[in-house]
Amino acid sequence: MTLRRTIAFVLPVLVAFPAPRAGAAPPGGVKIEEVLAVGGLGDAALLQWTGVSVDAAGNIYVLDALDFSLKKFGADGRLVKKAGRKGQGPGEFTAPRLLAGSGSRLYATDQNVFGIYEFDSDLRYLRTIPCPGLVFALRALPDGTLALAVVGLPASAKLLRMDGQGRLLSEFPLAEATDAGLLMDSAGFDLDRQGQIYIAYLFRDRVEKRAPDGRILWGRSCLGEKKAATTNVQNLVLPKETCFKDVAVDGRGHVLVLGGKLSKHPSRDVYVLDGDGTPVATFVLPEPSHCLYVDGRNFLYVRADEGLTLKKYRILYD
Amino acid sequence: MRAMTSKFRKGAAVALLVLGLGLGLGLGSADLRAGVCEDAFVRCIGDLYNQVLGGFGTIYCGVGFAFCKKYIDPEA
Repeated sequence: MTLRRTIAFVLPVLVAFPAPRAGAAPPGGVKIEEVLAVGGLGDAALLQWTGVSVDAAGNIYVLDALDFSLKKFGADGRLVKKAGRKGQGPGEFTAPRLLAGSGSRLYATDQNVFGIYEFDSDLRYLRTIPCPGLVFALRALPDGTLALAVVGLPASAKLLRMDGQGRLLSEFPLAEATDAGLLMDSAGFDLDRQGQIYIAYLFRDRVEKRAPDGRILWGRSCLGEKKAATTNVQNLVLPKETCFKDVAVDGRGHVLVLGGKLSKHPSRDVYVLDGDGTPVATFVLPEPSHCLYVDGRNFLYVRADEGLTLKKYRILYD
Repeated sequence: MRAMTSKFRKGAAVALLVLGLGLGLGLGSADLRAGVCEDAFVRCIGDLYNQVLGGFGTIYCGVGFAFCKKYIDPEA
């Protein structure tokens, strides 16, 4: 009876005053409002997602590292289809990592595969596009080309443009200084509608805008010129802390940069810059994320529950 | 029970993701802790196959290390 009374009292209060679901309101006027959660603690739809892409109809495609699969969810978050399994055959995964989509095509990477898997929107495996190195960032562009950041031998990272057949269209090095150290070129990137490239470095407090030919148009710090601590492992200097985990360009041309360990709220702070690199605002994600993805309708997708949940937010500008 | 299930799933996820670094050795514990990526990197470059690959083996392990720092290490 006591429980009933408690429920009878608490429930109307919760309905009248729901817990805030949006990210903290920022100075400068960008905030987010949750509109959908895919997966969850009590749901086996997602086990550990790593990559996400959303098509024009709002279908959500997710690479699930723990399930070794590519999953398609409807715009309502319902699981529509699943493809792939653990293995080394075509379309099978041993360590699924990155996902990108454009039109009716999806492109996925596996850390142990030299190449990029191509699927159609029904998750049918089509082929593996050869790739000259290990891919650590990937975007699919509306014109059917791919942009990818790769590292190979010699160990300098490059940003490549390839056509759908894997033919190299252009390339430029990511590093300004080749002696920066192992992994210091690790970065995420995104492109705007003009093909200009925004790069956020994983272990360097630097965000850059590059022209399509690689020229640096601007570069700036977002963390007050902080330097990531390093550690010496078997005579190799390795960075210990992350500066930026991802970058995405929204429908207004704003650049959203996800801060890493060195931001005030690790893996939750999102720095919003305009196309010229001027800070516009900062907002805070409710939970840490490893990535940012903005779809064609300007919804933001991030991680929650350490990969068990994918959350979709509406971006609100004052 | 739900919390335990969640913890197990997270632990299993960490184990599989770290093993995705290319380790030839099993990972004894799968708890989220600082240093998990450094430990995995050491095991990765100590793996015979990656030693045979030489510089490329180091790059391969380095890419896995960066992934681990981005996705897994709670202190990174």
